[in-house]
Amino acid sequence: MPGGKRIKIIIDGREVETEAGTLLIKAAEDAGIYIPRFCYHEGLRPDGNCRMCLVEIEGLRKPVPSCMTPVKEGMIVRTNTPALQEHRKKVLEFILTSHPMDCPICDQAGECVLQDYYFDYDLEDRRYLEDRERKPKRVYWGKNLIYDAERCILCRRCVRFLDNVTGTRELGVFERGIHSYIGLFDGKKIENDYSGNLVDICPVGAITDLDFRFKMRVWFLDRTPSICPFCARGCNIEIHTNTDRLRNRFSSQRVFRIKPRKNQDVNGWWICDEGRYSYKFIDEGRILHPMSNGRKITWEAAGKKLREIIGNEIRVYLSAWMSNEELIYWKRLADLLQWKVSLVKRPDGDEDKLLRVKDKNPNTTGAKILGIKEERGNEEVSVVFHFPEFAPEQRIKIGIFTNEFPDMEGWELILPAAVFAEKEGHWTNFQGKIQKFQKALEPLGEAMDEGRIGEFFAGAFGIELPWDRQEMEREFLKEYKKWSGS
Amino acid sequence: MKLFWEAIKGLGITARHLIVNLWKFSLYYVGLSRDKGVVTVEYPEERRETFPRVRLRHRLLRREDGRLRCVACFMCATACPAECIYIEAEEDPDHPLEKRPRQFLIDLGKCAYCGFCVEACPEDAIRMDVHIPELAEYERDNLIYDIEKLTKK
Repeated sequence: MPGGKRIKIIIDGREVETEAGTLLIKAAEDAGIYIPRFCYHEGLRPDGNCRMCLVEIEGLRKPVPSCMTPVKEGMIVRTNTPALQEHRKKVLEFILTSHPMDCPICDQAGECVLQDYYFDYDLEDRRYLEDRERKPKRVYWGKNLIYDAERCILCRRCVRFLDNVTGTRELGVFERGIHSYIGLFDGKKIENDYSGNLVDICPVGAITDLDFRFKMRVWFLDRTPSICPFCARGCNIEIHTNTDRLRNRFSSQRVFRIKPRKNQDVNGWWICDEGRYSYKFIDEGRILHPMSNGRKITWEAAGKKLREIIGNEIRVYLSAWMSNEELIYWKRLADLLQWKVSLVKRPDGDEDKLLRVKDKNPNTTGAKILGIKEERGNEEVSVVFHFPEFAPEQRIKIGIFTNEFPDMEGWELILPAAVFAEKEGHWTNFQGKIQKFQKALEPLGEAMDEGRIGEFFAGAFGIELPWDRQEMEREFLKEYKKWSGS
Repeated sequence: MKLFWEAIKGLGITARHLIVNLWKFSLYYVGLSRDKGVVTVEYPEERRETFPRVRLRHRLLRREDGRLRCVACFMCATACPAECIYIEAEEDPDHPLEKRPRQFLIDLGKCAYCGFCVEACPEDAIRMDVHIPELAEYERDNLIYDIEKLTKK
């Protein structure tokens, strides 16, 4: 907000200092006072249509919507008086006259604000005796979106998202009054690259995700903060997993969905659809055991194979998908054993103005800080990380991969690596921000993270270099300070 | 020698039980007493009565049109303290109720027969049967009941 002048207001008897021009609902939220809302979303322009966020301001006769009111010096605001609670109850009762109440089959149940507010403010039986308004259900909006007009409370967040954020404007509100519904404009389908965010911003279950639809109830999911690996932006995400119950006997799916996490410096509130729907590689087609020429072997046998190559010239192709700690550990290992080091990464892809950047690797900057360059060599042995397609045609190829690929027979040795959701570490994004991703799952099969595999290499080559992630993190920070200082 | 006397004493107790119960049952049999004595129930021809409030194996019910009542809402799986219910939901393309179970498994080996699943069900789709105590199986995996077994009459 322009100006930046600090002013003081009083919310519920507490003095709150905020910037001039901030919306009241935001100022209250920053101070830890939550005002219920349906239509207001921080990342969208306020609309003020749901009337849930009304507050009382001293000096005004009627309550005003806090999402449309900028703060003023000396404002005295009350957010939770009996009159306002009564008002919220009425708003909810009005919404619930035409809500289907099919929570048992609604995917949003458990994270639905309508449900939450009902328990917070309403808890009354239905008084409206007429039949519910019948509206279109199961409308496919393209890509992974499915719309249920009966559940919709017409907050217009989706309409505003497509207008304010992506600018594609596929949706509009049609008809009037109780008959209104959100619909696609003629001949349009929602096919932009940020469509998945509509599911997140929908406060009820009107827009649900076909990919997640009916897979799991949300209260069974564990949420782990992480970082999206699919481009150099490093959007903050949450990985939703479930490994409990009878489930793991019958289904191997562990990751159920990816949700964005708010970080205004990096991704705001959104993530792109590539990042949202590309989680399948975590569970499917993983390499579970060390392999030699397409055959399963044990880790001991793999160690023996490694000892056979001692004495040859070796080049290690580190990948831009490794964490800062792993890169610095492997670089150190390579220096000790006089290996050459270079970098492999995914080729550049599409970019747009919102989030996606050209570089499709999470840690290219980290590799740049450590001075690892993309180059090819003609050494007898090459150790390749993550990207088999980059392997030069050498006599001996050793790979450290996460997922299966077509010609695994041509590889002398393949070691199973853990994917990003199965380990802990930091990536440096294209802005130079170091961001942490956390461990959401145990590695599948006999897979290990790249640091442990490095330790395994060190052991096979007869040197002592213990893998200590925290120490490597400190070492990387030293390098980072040198890099950012210069 | 002492052991021998102990064995005789034990057999004496056995014989006493036999004779006393035989006597009691004979009196009962000719209608002179109401005390039946201790008599073995001759299962399977004869069964002990189960109490009316006992609830045992689960049943999945169907609607009039033959569709399972279950809408795969996972309420039973949520309520289950033994975590023995596994549901896989799928889209029901033709029915106005959009959701149905593709798979519904109850592991009776884990089940505590607490009846919380019946309480939790919003559709009255799951109930527990009475008077059928025979749930034994030779393999633990046979105790995992699927939709077919749970709906069988």
